[in-house]
Amino acid sequence: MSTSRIEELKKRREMERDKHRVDVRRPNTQIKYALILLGILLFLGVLFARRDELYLWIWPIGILLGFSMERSRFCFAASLRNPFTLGTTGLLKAVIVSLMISSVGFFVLQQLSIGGETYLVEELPGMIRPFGIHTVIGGLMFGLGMVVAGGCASGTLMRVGEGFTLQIFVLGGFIMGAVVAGLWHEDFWRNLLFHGGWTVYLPDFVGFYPALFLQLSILGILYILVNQIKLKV
Amino acid sequence: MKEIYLDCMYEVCPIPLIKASKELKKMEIGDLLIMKTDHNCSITNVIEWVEKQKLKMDYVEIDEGEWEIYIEKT
Repeated sequence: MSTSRIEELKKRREMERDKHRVDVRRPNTQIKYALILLGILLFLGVLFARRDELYLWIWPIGILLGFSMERSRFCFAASLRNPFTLGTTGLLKAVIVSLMISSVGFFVLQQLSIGGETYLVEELPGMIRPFGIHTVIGGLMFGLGMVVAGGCASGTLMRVGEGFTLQIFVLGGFIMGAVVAGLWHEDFWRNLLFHGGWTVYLPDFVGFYPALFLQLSILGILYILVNQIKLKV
Repeated sequence: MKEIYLDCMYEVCPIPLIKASKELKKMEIGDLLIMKTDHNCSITNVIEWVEKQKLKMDYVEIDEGEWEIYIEKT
């Protein structure tokens, strides 16, 4: 995918970099740091697991998720922004696929948690809440904010870990927002904006298996559409 | 056959690519664009976009979390 001139440049740059590392006596691998970090993670994992057994699962899964997102350079903000600014839809297709996988996962979780016949929609795993004008306002704010800030929640955390200093301010901002607006002023916003919400839960209308089939079909159609648009633009 | 150097360090996601696309429009065939960035999201974006434009590129990780991207206009 590159020309001979580019390859030449790349080799030259790599040699420069390796020589620089030898000069300042920095090793070419970071095995020592990796082992120390692994030790710290295991120690923290044990600490958390003693508080609540759930952490035995959440801790490794979270770390693995973050690691794979960082290595594959996944970005939710880019997946929604790129089709408009650049016309590339690769990330959007990846997000659609992950939505399909999560749909199946949540289907299983909800089936398991119901057990018997009757259930309350609010208590199901998946946080199904009423939607109304507040959903639209929140979505617009989040969308605008995430493009300006250069990433959304997962992207920010991942990049802070990688050493991208700007995202530390973004992290501070979103902690402040969550604590101030979400925790301290929650009642104020709830009374102001959460009016007449309607909780839509598909299986209430069409049953569980048809709902899953419908959701997967719609996502599949979206995937095909997005793929076709990529060829035209 | 010029080499244009673009410094996009510490810039957030769309900016490096927008700067690059502006520069590429001004460049002629045979010119080389060197971009320096530390945002990993930009790399995926650049790779995808360059493939779409059918240009040639490659990149090097010169330091922990910093990359140099080479794009040649053919």
